[in-house]
Amino acid sequence: MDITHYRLKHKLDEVFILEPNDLGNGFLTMLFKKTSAFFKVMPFLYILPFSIAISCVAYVLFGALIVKLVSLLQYGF
Amino acid sequence: MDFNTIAANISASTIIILKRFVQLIIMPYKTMRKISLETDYTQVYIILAIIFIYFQIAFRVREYNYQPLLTFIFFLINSAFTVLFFYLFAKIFKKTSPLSTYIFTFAYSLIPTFIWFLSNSALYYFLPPPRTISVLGKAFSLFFLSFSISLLLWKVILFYLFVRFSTKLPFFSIIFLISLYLAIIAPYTVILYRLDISRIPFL
Repeated sequence: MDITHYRLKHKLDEVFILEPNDLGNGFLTMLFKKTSAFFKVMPFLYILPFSIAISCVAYVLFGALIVKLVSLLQYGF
Repeated sequence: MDFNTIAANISASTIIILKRFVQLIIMPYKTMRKISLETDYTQVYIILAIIFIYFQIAFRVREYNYQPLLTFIFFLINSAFTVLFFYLFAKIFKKTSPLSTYIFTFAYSLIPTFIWFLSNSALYYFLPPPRTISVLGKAFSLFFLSFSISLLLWKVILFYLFVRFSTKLPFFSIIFLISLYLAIIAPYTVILYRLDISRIPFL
């Protein structure tokens, strides 16, 4: 029982290491909590399609310029 | 400490780093929270050693004007500045996390940067630029751009979590601090570029 109590306390201390974010407005805080939830677990589920979409939009808008941008980035290290 | 103990410590810390690397992909928030409570400095030394090895490899992939040791020293200066910047500002806001929290969370937030630099060096070696406007060139460009944006977004998440768990400040204060940090680091980056020390800073 003592070990269970210790583990529970340890876990609670860890979870409540931060005060919850309050953006000063109920609606904004709710929006922030709903949005940030997507990035807390498996963010790549959203990041990957978003990145591919952005790249495709960039290609449609700028065409061959993205080829130049990539060549520039490849010299970036 | 004898050799066996040191080897066991390094192995254990390496396994923890690999585990945390996977966990940072799957659940970044919970993992960064755990990292912020970390006390095993061997993990930081291993991450720094891996980055130092990367600089050595990159030096062989393409020619630099400076030795990798100098590039690594500049990386250490940049990192120390970043950690101290947020640490001192958090002190102003009366938030007191130990400096170790800043060091650990920042070290782990370097993982996306490391992956991007390493893969970029590998691609530079196997598919040297410039890219052409052929179908293959365009397809590769789309792939590389998507890959870079993904890692950048992951980096943004981890960097935000680094600041959030170390400073414990609310959202708007973090956005303000990060903007201030970027405003300072941008001209410094240009100076490093002009001196030919780094094109994109390893941060």
